[in-house]
Amino acid sequence: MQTRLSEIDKTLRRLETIEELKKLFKRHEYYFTSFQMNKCLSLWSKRRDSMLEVPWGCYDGYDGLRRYFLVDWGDISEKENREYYRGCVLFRSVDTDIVVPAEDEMTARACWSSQGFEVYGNKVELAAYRGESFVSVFNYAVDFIREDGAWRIWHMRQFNKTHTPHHTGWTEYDQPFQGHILKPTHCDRPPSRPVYYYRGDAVIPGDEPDPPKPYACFADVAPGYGAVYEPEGEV
Amino acid sequence: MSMELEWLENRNERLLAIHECRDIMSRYMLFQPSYRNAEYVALWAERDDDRLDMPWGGYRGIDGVRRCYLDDHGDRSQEGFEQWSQGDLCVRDIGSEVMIPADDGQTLRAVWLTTGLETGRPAMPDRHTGYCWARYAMDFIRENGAWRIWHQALYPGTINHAHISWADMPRWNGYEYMTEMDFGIEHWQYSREDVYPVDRPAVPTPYATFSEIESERKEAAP
Repeated sequence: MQTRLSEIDKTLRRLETIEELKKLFKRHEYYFTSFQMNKCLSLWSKRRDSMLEVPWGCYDGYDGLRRYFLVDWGDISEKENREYYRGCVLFRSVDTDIVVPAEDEMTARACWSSQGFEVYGNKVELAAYRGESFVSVFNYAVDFIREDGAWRIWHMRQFNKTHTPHHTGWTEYDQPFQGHILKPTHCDRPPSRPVYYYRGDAVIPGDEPDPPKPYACFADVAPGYGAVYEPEGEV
Repeated sequence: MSMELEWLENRNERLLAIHECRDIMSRYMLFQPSYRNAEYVALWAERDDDRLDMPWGGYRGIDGVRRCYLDDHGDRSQEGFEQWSQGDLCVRDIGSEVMIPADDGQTLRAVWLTTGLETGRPAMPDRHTGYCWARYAMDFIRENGAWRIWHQALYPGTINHAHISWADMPRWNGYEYMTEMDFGIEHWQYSREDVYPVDRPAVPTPYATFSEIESERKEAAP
């Protein structure tokens, strides 16, 4: 009987972890789309090998994440940021989730799909996007790590599918993703691979994202995932 | 105590079944648009009574499923993929799920709403590009302890171009390049003159075993 109880306990803990990670990522998306960047940052691991990749580049380590959330975007509570957000609205659903915790329960890998729309105000950096609205479709690949018993976002990669002005079909808009719309960027390096955008001769990538498979521990699936980045010293 | 333990195990199994079948469906949403269809077919039960109903026709048995996804759609491992898939873009997300495992723990019935966009490959005779909404009805079956897809039906809602209201879309017959098959479901498309059919798909309700569902179907058949 003890074995049967222990099996039930193991399954329930796994399902609870999956639900917790879904909530964590979706919480991040709600904070992000309401420009609460301090709260977003608080959901990430402070490790030096944390990593975020967006269509205009990669941000490495916790320092990179601070730059991404607090400089390149900026928290909406700061007076100097509010003008950038005037006229900006982001709506992004996140669904179609696949969440796979490692057998050692120390990390988890996941992916989500996202469809939504974006509207940008008149203060944004990219002139062509001022006052424009877009249909945006992305996929996310995310790794989580457990630190002191709490789950944190560790790596995140955002893959572009289409980012098209509202009144234009994506087949009529063969412009590459032009970068961060809001402000000048301070990423650490360019994207790790060419950014997909719709063209008549483009072939859809097969691994953006690659749905995670069951795994024992993180070293088995992606030693050094996300990177070229080699942290110095202990992480 | 043993009855309580059994009750606990059953509840646990039901939650696990829901999670695992949802995971399979999400993988489908990623595999199919990126032409990883061989991996998608591997998620199906290897059974002669597999049933796959698409808007252009039905496929029967695991051989039919392979024909649909590996011949009619194709896989990215196939020769010439880099050429024939150029300009193809498909995005499918799922939500609004209702998932019901059978009391006997051997099958699970579910429905989803899917939203996304599609741009067909250039070789299609009536190449479409537009936002698409549809509904899925799925049955899953447990084989050797693992959940597999058993039945799948795709009920189209709309495919409308970015510039055209879905209410103004002309009828679309772009599926002609697919293998000609017996129709498993009525191919509904919007028209201002039509009433949307009832129970497309039927939302699953709690059930004991799948044979109970089959009996109800037979009784309801005209």
